[in-house]
Amino acid sequence: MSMLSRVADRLYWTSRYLVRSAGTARLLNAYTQFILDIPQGSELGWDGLLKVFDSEQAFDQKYKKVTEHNVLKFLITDLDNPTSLRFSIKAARENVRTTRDVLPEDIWEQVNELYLYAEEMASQSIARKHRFDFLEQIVKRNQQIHGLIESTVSRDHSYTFLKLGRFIEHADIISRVIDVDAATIGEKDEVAISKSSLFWVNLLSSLSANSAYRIEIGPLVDSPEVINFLFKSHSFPRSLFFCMSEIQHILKSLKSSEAAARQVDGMMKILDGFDAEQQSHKQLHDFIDTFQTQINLLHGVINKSWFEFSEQSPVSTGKKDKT
Amino acid sequence: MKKNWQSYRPGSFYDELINENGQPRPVSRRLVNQLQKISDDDMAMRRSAFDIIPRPIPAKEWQTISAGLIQRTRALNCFINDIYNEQKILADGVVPADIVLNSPNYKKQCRGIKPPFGVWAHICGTDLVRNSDGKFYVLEDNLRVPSGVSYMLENREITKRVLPDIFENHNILPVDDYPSKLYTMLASLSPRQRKRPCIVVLTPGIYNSAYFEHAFLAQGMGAQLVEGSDLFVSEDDIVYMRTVDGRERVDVIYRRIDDEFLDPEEFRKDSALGVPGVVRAWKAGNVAIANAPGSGVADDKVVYAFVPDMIRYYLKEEPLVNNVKTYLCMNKEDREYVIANIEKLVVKPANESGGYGLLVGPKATKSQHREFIKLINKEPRNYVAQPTLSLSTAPIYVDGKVEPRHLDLRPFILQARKSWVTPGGLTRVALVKGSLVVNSSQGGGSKDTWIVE
Repeated sequence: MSMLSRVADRLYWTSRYLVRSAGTARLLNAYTQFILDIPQGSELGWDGLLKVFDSEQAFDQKYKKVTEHNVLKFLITDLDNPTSLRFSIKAARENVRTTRDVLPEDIWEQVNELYLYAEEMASQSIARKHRFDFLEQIVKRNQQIHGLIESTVSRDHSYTFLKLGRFIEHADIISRVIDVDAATIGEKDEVAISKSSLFWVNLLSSLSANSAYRIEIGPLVDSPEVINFLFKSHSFPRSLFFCMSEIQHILKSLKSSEAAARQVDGMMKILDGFDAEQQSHKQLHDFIDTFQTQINLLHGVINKSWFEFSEQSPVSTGKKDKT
Repeated sequence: MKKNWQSYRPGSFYDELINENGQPRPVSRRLVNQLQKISDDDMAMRRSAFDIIPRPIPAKEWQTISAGLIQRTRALNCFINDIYNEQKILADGVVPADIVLNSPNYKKQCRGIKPPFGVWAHICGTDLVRNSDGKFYVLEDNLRVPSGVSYMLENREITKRVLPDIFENHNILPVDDYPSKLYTMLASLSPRQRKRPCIVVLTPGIYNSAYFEHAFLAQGMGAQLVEGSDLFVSEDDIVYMRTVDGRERVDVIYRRIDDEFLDPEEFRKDSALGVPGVVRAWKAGNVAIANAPGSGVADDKVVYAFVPDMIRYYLKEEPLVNNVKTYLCMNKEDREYVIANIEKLVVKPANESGGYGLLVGPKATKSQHREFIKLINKEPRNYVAQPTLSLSTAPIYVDGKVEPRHLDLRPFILQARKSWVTPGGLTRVALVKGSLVVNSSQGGGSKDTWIVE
């Protein structure tokens, strides 16, 4: 049975929102740890987080001052902010609720529980005292849901679109978090370099990437090497390269995927020509901007190929395709 | 409700909701607040939709009822097919033409259509009640989009889980093959001869109160659950659904949307739920729609009164299940009787469903009687009256006691080339003491129904 475009669209967004909520939780945790680690009096503010989410304007419209409380409130509980944790989880749940009939029952239950947990705990988890526990729970519950998807969703279109959403969102998050370094730490003087390495240690651990990094690269955490690792590692499953090659693979199982495949090939080429060692801070930032634009373009192509339906599309026989 | 909460004292135990000062705990503040806003009666109605004590019916008795329901549904389908084609029954004066042709449920767009097997109402939910004489009577035929079958299936699941020992000691007819019977019936309507025709369940969407049932049946049949926007009709009158593999032709639509909203080209122009052109495709014979548009013409409380005559007229048989004596306010004699005896009768509007807008004479006030007499005089065609039946009761569990409550029974009849009746059906029970209104939209509950051999 072919999958309805509407259902595929919702599954894709279910995954994107779930991965986004876990990614945001990881990032907020890493950033908080990082702030705790740096010496007092250093010029490092919470506005860095706003830059990462491209939401300085939206923040300024609602809040007077950039304080830890305001920024975390904005990013954790504020439903007016479409990048907030609570918003992502709510949106994921809405999408699962309307696609329950194509998913194993447990997935709805777990996503609903994640939602209920976030609704109950979010507002009291802005203060540092409860923040870590809360963010950790969000990540763990997401891992549980991911495990269920891997172990119970049939390998048909439902799985395909869940996976597509997952890797696109991963790619988006990886490029965003790397930008934290560029966005917050500034040009590379002595102090900045030591700050930077502190940041990367926290970031790697938040991505559960510490040991993978040490095995592949070595014990020294240094920014160009971390960036190269997170962009180009062929073995670490959260690297940009890995995400893009997974997407390449998924596209092969779908009809009308030529346009999307071309877009991904182009992105792989861009990635291939990149080397963090050769980049100034400004160049790195520009590169990430370019890559994010490419991710948005890819999303547009996916949208057009499978979700926004034109009545001239080819006739399907209704027979199941090989995946 | 408020009073109850103020007098609620859990004593020395830790209460999960209320603290030692009688105040809600932080975790339950919102919950208790909202509960307090619900009236006692409303609360009683919502309490629990499912009652654990099953309602048994002897298999032997069921055989006759089942045959009677099939007979009735066949006659109703002959009637609908006749009305939209030759109109012999009107010409012969068995049913007055004006009550049929002036009914809002008569859809002139359907004239001249001949659906497969001459069947229009493929899924029928007939409401039965047992009177104090111990006999079953048909209260109404729901031929549009009857719901409740998923509760019948779920209730059986629950009973098997919570009363396995009792269940095992009975010989009870199984109900769980309903989705496959429904699938087979729908597949037989397919205009294309294929091994697995493309069947869709068309739902108004997540906010419809029966959405759960739509999803449940789609899943049970391995069919697509679609919303109107998932379908489109091509220039050459073929229905397609929008899939990730392209457009896929649809053979059969099990629609759970009312006629009025089904197709903005034919019915309500402002409907966003429907599929523009779907009636055009149906008329061209390129898609089957169950139940067929226009089936509601026989689902009218005035037409109901003529069903026994239809059985005699089309099938040359005597009805096996009784109708309730019905007074048609459009007839002068009947109307005078109804007005004179209104305190003894149940007065119903001809075209409402869900138990809305009716008057239960013995339980209504004098001013309500006067109000209904006014309504009847204003629009006599729109009202019928029936004697107040003494609906049978069955025990339900309430507050640790067993108490009697009134109930009815809604079996589901499937019809295409052949007919089939669910063994039993959905028993609906009024949860409010003394109430005769069992509709789930008004807080009725339900029970598992056992056909016991």
